[in-house]
Amino acid sequence: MAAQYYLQKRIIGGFADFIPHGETVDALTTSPTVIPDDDPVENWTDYNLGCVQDVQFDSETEDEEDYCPAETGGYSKTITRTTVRDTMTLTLKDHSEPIFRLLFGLNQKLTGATGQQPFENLGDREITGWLRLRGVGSAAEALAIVKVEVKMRISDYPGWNQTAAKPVVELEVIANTLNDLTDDAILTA
Amino acid sequence: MKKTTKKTQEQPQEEVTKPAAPVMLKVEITAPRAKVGSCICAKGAVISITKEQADALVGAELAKIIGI
Repeated sequence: MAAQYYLQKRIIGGFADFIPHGETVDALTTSPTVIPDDDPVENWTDYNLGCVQDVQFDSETEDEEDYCPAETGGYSKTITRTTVRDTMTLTLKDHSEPIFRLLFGLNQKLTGATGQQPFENLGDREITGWLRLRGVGSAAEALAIVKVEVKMRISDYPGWNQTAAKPVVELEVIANTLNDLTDDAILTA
Repeated sequence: MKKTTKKTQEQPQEEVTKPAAPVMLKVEITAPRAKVGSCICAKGAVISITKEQADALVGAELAKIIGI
């Protein structure tokens, strides 16, 4: 591994595509078991969330403590740590349909064609679907691409004021069986 | 003023035949992964596809037909 890997700032941001379950891609309905392919690329880019200015990764863990008698007397304590939840938090520059759907609490996709009842969804305001996150380098190349099934929620919204509103969404990983983390040269960068 | 009407020749109507709707079959994916069109289907996925696509998947032992 090249030493500059640790010295250079390689990934400067990203792009995210999010396909909610129930969308039609190439005559098939997307679901937890039907995932759009990369060919054609519009399968994903038609559902672009726009520029991602910041990506944070977080894991939630739970510890279990065990006490056993030690051979030398007294107790010995061991901690077993289990990762129970993975999330990615994206700060977006742009607004897209899913953002408005969550923001206005809609039960259906925002169509614009017919009137919809705002703040109708009194349950968990989330959208489940497939995420493709591309981490891009300064030379406009995609260095890492990850595809996972996620639940998307708005975690922070700055409001409508004189500054640009940049929605922050939390993406909770719910399935990663696709095994589709692609290393596009980040390890050798 | 006397109105004159032009006689128009009746042209034979062309028969318009609608293309037959493709036969759709419902299949269940039995392989860990199968590519269908421009999607990837995981095991257990139930999808509605054309007979040609279904025959190809079943022939490759990637899926089984479960209905129409």
